[in-house]
Amino acid sequence: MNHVQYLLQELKVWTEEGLLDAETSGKIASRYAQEQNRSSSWSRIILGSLGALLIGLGVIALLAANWDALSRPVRTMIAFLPLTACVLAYAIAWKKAWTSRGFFEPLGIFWSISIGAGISLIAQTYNISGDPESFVLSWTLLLLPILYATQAVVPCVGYFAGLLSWACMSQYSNGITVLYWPFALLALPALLAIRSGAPGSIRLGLIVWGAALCSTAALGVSLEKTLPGLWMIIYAGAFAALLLAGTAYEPSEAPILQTPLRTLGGCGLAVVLYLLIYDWPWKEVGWDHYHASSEYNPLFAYFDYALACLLPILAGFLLLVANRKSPITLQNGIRGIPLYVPWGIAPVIVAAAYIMASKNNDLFIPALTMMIYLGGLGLATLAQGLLDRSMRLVNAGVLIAIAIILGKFFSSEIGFTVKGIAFICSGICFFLVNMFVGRYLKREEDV
Amino acid sequence: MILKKIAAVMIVVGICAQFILFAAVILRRECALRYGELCRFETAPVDPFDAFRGQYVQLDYKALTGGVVTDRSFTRNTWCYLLIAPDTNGYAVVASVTDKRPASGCYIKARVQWSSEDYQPKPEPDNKYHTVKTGKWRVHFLLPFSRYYMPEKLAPKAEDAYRRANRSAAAKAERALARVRVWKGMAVIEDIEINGKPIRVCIDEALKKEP
Repeated sequence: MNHVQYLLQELKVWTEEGLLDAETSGKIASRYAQEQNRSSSWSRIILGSLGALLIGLGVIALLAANWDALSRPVRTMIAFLPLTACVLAYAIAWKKAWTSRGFFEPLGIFWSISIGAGISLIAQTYNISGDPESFVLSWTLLLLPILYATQAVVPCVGYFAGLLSWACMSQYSNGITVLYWPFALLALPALLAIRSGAPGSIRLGLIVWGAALCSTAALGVSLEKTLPGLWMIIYAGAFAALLLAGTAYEPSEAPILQTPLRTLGGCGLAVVLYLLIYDWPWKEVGWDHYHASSEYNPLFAYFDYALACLLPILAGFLLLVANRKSPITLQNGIRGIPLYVPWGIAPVIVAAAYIMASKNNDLFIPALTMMIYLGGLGLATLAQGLLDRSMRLVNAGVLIAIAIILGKFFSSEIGFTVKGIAFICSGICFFLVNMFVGRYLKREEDV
Repeated sequence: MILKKIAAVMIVVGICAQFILFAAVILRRECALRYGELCRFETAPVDPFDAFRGQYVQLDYKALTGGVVTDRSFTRNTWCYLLIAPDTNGYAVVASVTDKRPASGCYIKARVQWSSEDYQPKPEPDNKYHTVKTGKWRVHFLLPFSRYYMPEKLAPKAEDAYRRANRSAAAKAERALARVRVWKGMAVIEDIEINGKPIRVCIDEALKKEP
């Protein structure tokens, strides 16, 4: 018995005992009955998707076993069969206005497999040598209508994963990896449609997680890197934009699965800023160390420059949008500044440190600036966690502070005994903060 | 509303693209197999570690192995046209390379892998070989007909037959040829022949001989 079934059972008892009137009881029952239907549809979706996957793989295995016995025209027909079946199934669903996710999620998987299988079968029949790069790109681009038609998780995440794989291969063979971005933009209306149809849903969360993870990875792959160190501003801008977009558009009190932009943006920004507290990222950066060899294409470098300018501007714009949702109230002093503000200005701080490092060829000042800034962010996060009574924020703040101390400590020349003791002390501090804050929050709740 | 319109266009255009792309790939190759000129390429031995990947035989050709000598260099990843002509024995060889589509004749469209300056060994009096520039370029291509797919069980036998035919000692006795149909720049392998017999016939004969 799950919690909804238990609640519905209890509801009957409460109504019989007169604790609730029949009308209120009916309203509560209908609300939770819907939730139960939703949860059962998820199990149907997972089982249906698994079924579609197994059927797809089984059909391919059966064909492969008898492939040599079939003539060329028959093989060609077979290559079209799964695709035709999927299109027909979609046409029927569209005609009958079906909306069940239990139908569209498995259809999305089967349709995606049928495209890959079709390409492979045709390549085998005609002995096409095609390289993996063009195979992945063809398969991925042909997933586009599937993600628009089914709005399913697998084709959507598969589209971005496919593009990322292609970008990696393309980078290796000196291809045009920046094409990742126009291709990714082709899927944007589908993502917006999913968002407007099912805002705050787990499905949307999974899709945006996939898209955001692949796109942040593709960012690193598609940069030309002619100007050393520019990645710092670009990545700080990208993660700050994600964090602020999450703050502006994602639900405030939702779990990590349903807040991909905020979670990925926050974690990514913390990692980038943490890397910048060391000396090594600041070595040989700026125009004095411009890469001018034939390996780098100066034309594609403009894409890097554009990103380095546009992403901080985008972050600034999103800061204003986020301010509409939870505005800065200066009457309360420093308490009136929401946490997204000090995090959101990270691209500006990084850009200032970058200019400093590239002009003076100095490693110490930029690294120290970033350490002070990240330390401040850690303390601000900890303070906000205490104010909001959020253990997640308290832990994040403590983790940042401990990471800075340990990181700097470990990169120093101090002996391992002292380093070991420092590690233990930090661990104890972490536990103590957790314990005391946990108790404090519980006591507050009880009061 | 606008999202729905975009989605409708993407679905209709995308589904049509799925069918059209599949059909275009098939039709072009069917045309090559039906109307294409038959070229018989002599095969060359391949790197044994890279010879078999799954269910296909990796092919290499004597006319192309080691690159094609040209008068100029070609940029990596650009498309070129290889003009094919028969040699004195009737086997296909590359007569010339151009970056413009020829108006007529038998030609294959291929992508440039890399090109480098051409060197030739120059025997010295002390019997130590040195190389000298010839003033020409050696261009290597990514060939669109370098794989021949076989069923999983027959593939190892095909590999044995292909290797045996290409071994230097046996090369004079046995000869492996690729029958390639060429049509408007498109090259499609029709079959692999070993000593004038299709490779599948050779494998069948070998299987019958096995106890």
